[in-house]
Amino acid sequence: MTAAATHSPAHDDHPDPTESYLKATHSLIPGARGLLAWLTTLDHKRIGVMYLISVLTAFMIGGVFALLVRLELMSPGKTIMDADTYNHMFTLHGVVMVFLFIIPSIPAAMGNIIMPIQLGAKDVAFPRLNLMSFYIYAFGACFALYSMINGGVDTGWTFYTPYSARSNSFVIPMILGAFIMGFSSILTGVNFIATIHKMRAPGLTWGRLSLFTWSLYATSIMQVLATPVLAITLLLLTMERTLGMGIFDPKLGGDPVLFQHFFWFYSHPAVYIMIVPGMGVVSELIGTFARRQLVGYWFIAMSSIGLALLGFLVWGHHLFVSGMSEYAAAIFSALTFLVAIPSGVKIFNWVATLHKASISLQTPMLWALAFIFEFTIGGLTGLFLGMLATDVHLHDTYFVVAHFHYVMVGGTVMGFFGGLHYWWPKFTGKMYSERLGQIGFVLVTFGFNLTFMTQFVLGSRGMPRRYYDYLPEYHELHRWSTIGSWFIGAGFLTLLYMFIQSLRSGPKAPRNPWGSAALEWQVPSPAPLGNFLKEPRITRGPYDYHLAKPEELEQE
Amino acid sequence: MMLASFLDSSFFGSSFFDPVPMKWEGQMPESMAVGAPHVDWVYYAIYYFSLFFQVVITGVMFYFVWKYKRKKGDKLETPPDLTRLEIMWTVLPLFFIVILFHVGFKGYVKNAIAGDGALEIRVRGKQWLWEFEYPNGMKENGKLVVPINRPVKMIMSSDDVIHSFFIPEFRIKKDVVPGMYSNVVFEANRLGPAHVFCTEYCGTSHSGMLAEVQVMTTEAWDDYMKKGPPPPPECEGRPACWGEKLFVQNACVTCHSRDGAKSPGPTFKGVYGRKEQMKTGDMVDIEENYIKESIRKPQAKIVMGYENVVMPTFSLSDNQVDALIAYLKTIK
Amino acid sequence: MSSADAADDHGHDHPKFLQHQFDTPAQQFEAAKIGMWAFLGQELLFFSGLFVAYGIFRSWYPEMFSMASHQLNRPMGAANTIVLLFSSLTAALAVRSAQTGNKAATSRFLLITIGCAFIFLIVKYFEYVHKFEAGLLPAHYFHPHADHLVPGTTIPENGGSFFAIYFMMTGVHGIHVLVGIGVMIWIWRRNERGDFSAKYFTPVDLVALYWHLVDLVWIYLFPLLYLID
Ligand code: HEA
Ligand code: HEA
Ligand code: HEC
Ligand code: CUA
Ligand SMILES: [Cu+2]
Repeated sequence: MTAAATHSPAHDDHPDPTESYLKATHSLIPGARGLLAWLTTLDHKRIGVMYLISVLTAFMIGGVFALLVRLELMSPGKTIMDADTYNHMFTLHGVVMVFLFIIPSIPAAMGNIIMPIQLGAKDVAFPRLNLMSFYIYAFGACFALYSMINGGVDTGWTFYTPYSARSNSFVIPMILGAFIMGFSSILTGVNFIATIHKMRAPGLTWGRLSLFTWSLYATSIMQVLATPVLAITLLLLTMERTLGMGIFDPKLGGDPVLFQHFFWFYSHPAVYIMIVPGMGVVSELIGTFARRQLVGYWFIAMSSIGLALLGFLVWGHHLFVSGMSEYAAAIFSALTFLVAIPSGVKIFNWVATLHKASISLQTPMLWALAFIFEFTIGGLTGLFLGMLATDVHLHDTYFVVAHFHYVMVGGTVMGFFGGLHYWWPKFTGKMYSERLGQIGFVLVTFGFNLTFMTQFVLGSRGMPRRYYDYLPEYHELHRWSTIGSWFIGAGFLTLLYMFIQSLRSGPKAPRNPWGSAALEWQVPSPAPLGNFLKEPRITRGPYDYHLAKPEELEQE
Repeated sequence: MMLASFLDSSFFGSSFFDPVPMKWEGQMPESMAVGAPHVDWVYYAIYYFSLFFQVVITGVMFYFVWKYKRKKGDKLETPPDLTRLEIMWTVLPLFFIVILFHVGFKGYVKNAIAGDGALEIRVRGKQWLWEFEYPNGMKENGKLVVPINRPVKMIMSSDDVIHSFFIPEFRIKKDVVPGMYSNVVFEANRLGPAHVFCTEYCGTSHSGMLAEVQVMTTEAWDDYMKKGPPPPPECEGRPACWGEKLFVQNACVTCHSRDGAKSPGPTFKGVYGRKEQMKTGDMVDIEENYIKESIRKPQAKIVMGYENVVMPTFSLSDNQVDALIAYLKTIK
Repeated sequence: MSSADAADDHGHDHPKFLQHQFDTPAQQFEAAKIGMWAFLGQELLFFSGLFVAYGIFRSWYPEMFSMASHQLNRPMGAANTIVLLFSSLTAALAVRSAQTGNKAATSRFLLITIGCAFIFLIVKYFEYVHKFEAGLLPAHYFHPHADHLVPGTTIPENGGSFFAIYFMMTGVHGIHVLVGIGVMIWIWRRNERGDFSAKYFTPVDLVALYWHLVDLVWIYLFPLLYLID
């Protein structure tokens, strides 16, 4: 990252588009160098890298909170902290993981770097807006950090009123942080929609778009349409706390359940904002490591759009026991089941693609296969919750906690790390140690299943979530769950070490280490500033191995 | 071994309550109400349904990975046109979900519809205790007694924040929302103890907001209604023992630690006989009358430094207050 | 797929306004248009949250809404509606003159639009001041003074909910007007500087689109808040 400092100023005014993006950049301040050139860059790849560093930091912080939560739950009663501290811990864990890590993780970090290249474009449609989105995110994160440093919040990541209107923790900065980061997410969505519509290279028809790009397109729609509702909800909540607006306060004629409707109208689509990009990554990985045209390309592409649209109709399944009418509950339940279809379509198509394929089990593919396995568990247990009779029993128990970790960690995080391993050579120009990658993978998946499988049983046996203390009967399973979390921690530390080692002394990456037919592997590693040495003209889809020229697939 | 005791952990001190034990049947808590078996049936139905899909999907996936592992000279071909198959696996699940939805909905309606002539019990959720009021006006905190084989309707409200009333053994749950009444109906069909958990996060002692349920025969229940709560048999003639139980039931523990730890209210480590400074600056001796007043009229004298937390008023019988005092004396 | 035959179609000229990531002015214009529409989509959803809250409260307390609504100043609201409608027209005319390359007219219409926006805010200011004096404030601060109310009317106890919604909706709308003013001044300066021509007028077009949205929202707010029953 010091590379920018090493070349002549003449270069910087008209940066050379064929130079590696790590060496040259377009910048808001012409001629900027070194760190300043990074901070003012207009290049989508550098912006993506800045996001990547931010989200990984957030993941680490959120992970530390998670380990503390688990440690406290290792035994009933006080283990290492008191009840108030615990309540802050799980709230901060949830908030950091959701707003700072998972929502920007795949779209804003990896999507930013890879998607324009997959489109054959030089950059996103609005590079300045892109940089602004990053700073809005950073600004929002500062608010969240400010709140955390001052003691944090203890409301749960859902900020339910009236508790959040009364809690004497630092709720307002945290809410404002989430509010501001919401705009970052909206603007990224706007940017990506325009980019995907208008920046495709000649010959790149919609039918030749990569499935990752399709997934980002669906995600962007959701970001643009759902996030503003969260924004207005959080604004109302802020007003509630500061001005006593009374919209959610029963004492002033308001309704607390209204807040829940507003919140979930955003946050249910948000869970698809989290998973759909992960599914996009998995589609890429399966294509590359199975060396095969994906079965049911259009079905996979359209199921992303289907999830995006259906996702707006099911928010009520979070409120089955909060006193909605039986009639409404029935409709929400029925619609919830409908969402299973597009997810199922993807799973079936991925598995079918493996049939008669040529499968290589390099690390990125391991993560993709783990994704299929874990996400199916997470998704199917979602059905237990969408089902009215069983949700009444399971709502707000550890069953829900296990469900959403299986989809978010077993799904999105596995997709994220699969993508990170896969595109790492393109990002950095370096290879990493395959062996360490495998060790990390095994530790994480083993630990993950130990941690959260136990929680399904805890939940169905009645253990409520957000509990600092519990009946002695639950002790055994909680203990195993805590032990599992140590394996996850060890696994991610291994990976952290692996990536650092790669940066410092990894072998130089070839153009196309995986022998992929996709467009981003046809440009040098790391990608050049202008993305392409020659303007690309597209004649086939990204998974058309039978049409690819041998030199395109060469692993060099 | 150090590690073993660490993992086993009463090493760190233990839970602040000692409620009745919880029993399981398979993956679920013991089934104690009329609606429960149907919920369990639905649960296991979808469980086996999911298990089936999981095993098939994972099985096929691993088989393919093993069978089509990359070898030298693999031909790179496109898959044949599978549109038929695609349509099948889009439409077939639709069929499954209609069935799933149907069974789930039936179970829900069964549990939601009120039985006529139900016994009505008022429930108030407060940070952080459950108060139950019976038709004869009797109130009790932290303990719910219900007759067997009779529909019961809980009419629930809250004065502060949202709580949620959950009895795992009955498979029922409903949010208790300030500003409105919500209700939930059940009919217990097995004698014995069960649990109430609060399942909507409500602040510091959310996890301490528990109550004990006792399902009794109709005669025992009528008797209980007449006489008010007696000391439990194991504490017969030992007020401090009863006091300790009351201390937990009434959720005093959620605000008053017994080991000197910081808590929302003053700690009770060595409380009896200590001198305490009030908000007004006066010093008082903590003895019987002061404690009695603190329980019955907590706002009469406010301890310095605790102006921000409001201790709720407790309507306890004289015997109960005496038992509590006897217990407080034992906390050294 | 990135085959060599794509080599050199760098034939087209590169006007100054064309940013490096685009190939043609048309592509740049269309991308900006799509981006703006997506942005307007999010604006609509943003306001829709408030409209939903409005709808729910009105259905709970129809009488209170009607009584509270009488405290709003209809002539002022109506005047503001006309002002905004007119400004929408001038915004459209600004685009029209930008398209024909008439720089002076573009500036003039932009200034008129900005002027209207200011008038709108000034009127709003007087309305707000009156509400403050009369104690017609959001729920917690609601303390109506009988002598400041419209003569011959009363206001129910829970009228604060109406004013909570009133201040939220008009406040958020007012912030949009303020932002609009800022952006239009900036566009006006760029026009004066000679950034725009018949070939390149995208920013004028976009700000007008935004302004129409601000206008549109008000057109719903006015009857919903001022003209109940
Ligand atoms: C990445 C995030 C993510 C994803 C993708 C999902 C996916 C799903 N979720 Fe989940 N969910 C969360 C994150 C997510 N969820 C979070 C964070 C919460 C808790 C929030 C909180 O309270 O803090 C939650 C809570 C939650 C609830 C509320 C529980 C409660 O509080 O009581 C419900 C209820 O319906 C639910 C349902 C579902 C369903 C039906 C899906 C479906 O989309 C799953 C679809 C997938 C499959 C079904 C598997 C694959 C399909 C097949 C193999 C085909 C065969 C299947 C059939 C024929 C049916 N989720
Ligand atoms: C993306 C979302 C996400 C992720 C990834 C996680 C990850 C984890 N979560 Fe979290 N969780 C939530 C979202 C998430 N969670 C949410 C939304 C809630 C609800 C909060 C609420 O109730 O309000 C919750 C609640 C929650 C609870 C319930 C608390 C309660 O209800 O009382 C528990 C308990 O076990 C838990 C545990 C864990 C654990 C052990 C992990 C582990 O998987 C974490 C492992 C990660 C690490 C240990 C980090 C290590 C990282 C590094 C070393 C650096 C890596 C860098 C490189 C490799 C480059 N979580
Ligand atoms: C919601 C929290 C809460 C609960 C529940 C609670 N208390 Fe308190 N208690 C307080 C607070 C705060 C104070 C100090 C302020 C005051 O004096 O009112 C206090 C003070 C007292 C005192 C005076 C202590 C002293 O040091 O002067 C006694 C005695 C007491 N409580 C007994 C009880 C008993 C017995 C119960 C249960 C039946 C109980 N409390 C339940 C919050 C609580
Ligand atoms: Cu009451 Cu949680
Ligand atoms: Cu949901």
